[in-house]
Amino acid sequence: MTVILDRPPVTLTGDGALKTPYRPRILGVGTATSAAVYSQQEVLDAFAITDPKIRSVFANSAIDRRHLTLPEPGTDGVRAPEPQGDLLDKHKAMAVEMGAEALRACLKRAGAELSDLRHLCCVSSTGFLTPGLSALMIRELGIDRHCSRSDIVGMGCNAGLNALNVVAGWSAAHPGELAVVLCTEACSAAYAMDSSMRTAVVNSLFGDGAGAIALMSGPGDEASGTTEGPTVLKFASCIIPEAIGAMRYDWDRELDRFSFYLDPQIPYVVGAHAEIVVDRLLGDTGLRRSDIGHWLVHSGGKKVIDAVVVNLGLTRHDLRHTVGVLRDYGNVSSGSFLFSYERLLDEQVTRPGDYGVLMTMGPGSTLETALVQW
Amino acid sequence: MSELSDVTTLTIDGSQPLSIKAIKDVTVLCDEVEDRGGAVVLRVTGAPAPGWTAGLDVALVTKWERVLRRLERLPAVTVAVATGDSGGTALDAFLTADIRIATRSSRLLLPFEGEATWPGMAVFRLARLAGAARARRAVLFGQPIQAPEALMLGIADELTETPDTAAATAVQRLEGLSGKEIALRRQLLFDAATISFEDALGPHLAACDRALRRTAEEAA
Repeated sequence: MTVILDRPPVTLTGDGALKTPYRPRILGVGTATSAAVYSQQEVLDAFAITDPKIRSVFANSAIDRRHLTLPEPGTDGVRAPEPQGDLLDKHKAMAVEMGAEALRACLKRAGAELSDLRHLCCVSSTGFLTPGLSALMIRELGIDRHCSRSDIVGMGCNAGLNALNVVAGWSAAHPGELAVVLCTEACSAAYAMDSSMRTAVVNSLFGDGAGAIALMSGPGDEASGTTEGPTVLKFASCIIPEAIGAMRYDWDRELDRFSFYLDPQIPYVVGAHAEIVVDRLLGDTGLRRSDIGHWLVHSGGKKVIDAVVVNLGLTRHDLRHTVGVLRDYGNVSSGSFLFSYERLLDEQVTRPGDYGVLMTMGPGSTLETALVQW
Repeated sequence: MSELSDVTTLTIDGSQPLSIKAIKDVTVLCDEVEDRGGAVVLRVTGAPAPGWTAGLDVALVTKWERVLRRLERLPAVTVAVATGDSGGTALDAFLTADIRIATRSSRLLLPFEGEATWPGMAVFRLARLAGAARARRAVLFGQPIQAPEALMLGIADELTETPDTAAATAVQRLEGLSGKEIALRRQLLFDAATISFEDALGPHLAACDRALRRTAEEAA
């Protein structure tokens, strides 16, 4: 006996809905990391960090391991922090290397070739580059010189969904043409080190990683090369201007380098706005929160994940991939939610008609969301 | 504020085999309560007759267990009242409720299927509520749980001779509570049984922060 209960109908006329004849589908995903993996203990040992308060931050991070590219040890076996110039070089090299691997893996899963690529949007916040990553990637991989491109820089952990929003629009306007969003973050190039809790929290959290997704819209077969990916239906954003300084990556004059700052209150501030943005995303669609079968939330950190779970009334099962990705990779910034998306696909539990919500959080402070349907 | 007029009531007859209709009834109830709020009263009664699983397949059971879980997590107070013998779908629904009332002569029954009891998620809920040791006789041997025993084990919260009045009183007592906040605390209770203090601390602090923000918003 087969049982089919009616799927709730979805209305897509409100703000943020893609009101186009053809909505883009996600055709493939790929991820990559830097080569070396470190446990939290190994990172502490590598920099000879003995302060019990800092060690405690690392121990309570809900992170088992991260991929990092650390400086070579000195003659005493201890690694000294690199100067800012070296960090920028590291960002450039690592972002391109991981980005190329993630892009290739994504295209392979989508059943596409590099020569099919018509738009490449590169996302990164862990270093500054001109020309940007899209240009470097095109040179590195020998992508067609006429490939349309864009770079989203400096938007932080949420940027993957800002990029998806813009590229979904590009894709809807270019049926049958392949677009890729590539988030590539060399978080090893974005650390600062002193004895403060400010840097301890940041240094315990981030890891290197890149994630790519391919999109295509079309009247039918063009966009159905694979059957595993969902269609992108709608976006909703919520910025919290009163918390504009709560997450920032800016110049630290004392340390003479860029330094990331995370306000201790920010997990709760983000959590308190999670319902607002999800209600807006589902508003006018006819969908209830309980109609959402799959939640893919940015692996921002243990506290922010807890706050999102509580405020959205989710279960630990709902955010199993978010928690698992944090445990295995740390926070890989803008590409984190793509690691979760890849794990969800690998589980093979999504069914045609299922709804999913993607959610990322970052500086602004901001929450970005997308509604998708398999 | 939930008033008595906001109560959504559903009768679940455990003597009927599990059906698409039973799943749809609970789905409609959940839809209504999620859209409009208010409290839920489940009237459950009846236990399956032998052979009740004829024609049943695990796809249907999956749908049933899924909608029960949705019922169990509703942003609303749920009250269940059991009369007579309650087994099958009646027992399943009874065990999902926040407040469980039984008539003094009622019995909770794990139905038999062939050579043993039915191993659905009622087994899980009984073990969670009463502990494996005390759920053992019912789960392994299908021994009926008499109403007084259910009360003693915490499976029932109260016994009554007047089920409708008892349900109405229970709903009235909880008037003014937020269904959404109840759902949040219910989830903390579920998780408390399985996770460590360290893992629970974060969600509890986030819930405290949420409560403080709500109080501050009300004050403003």
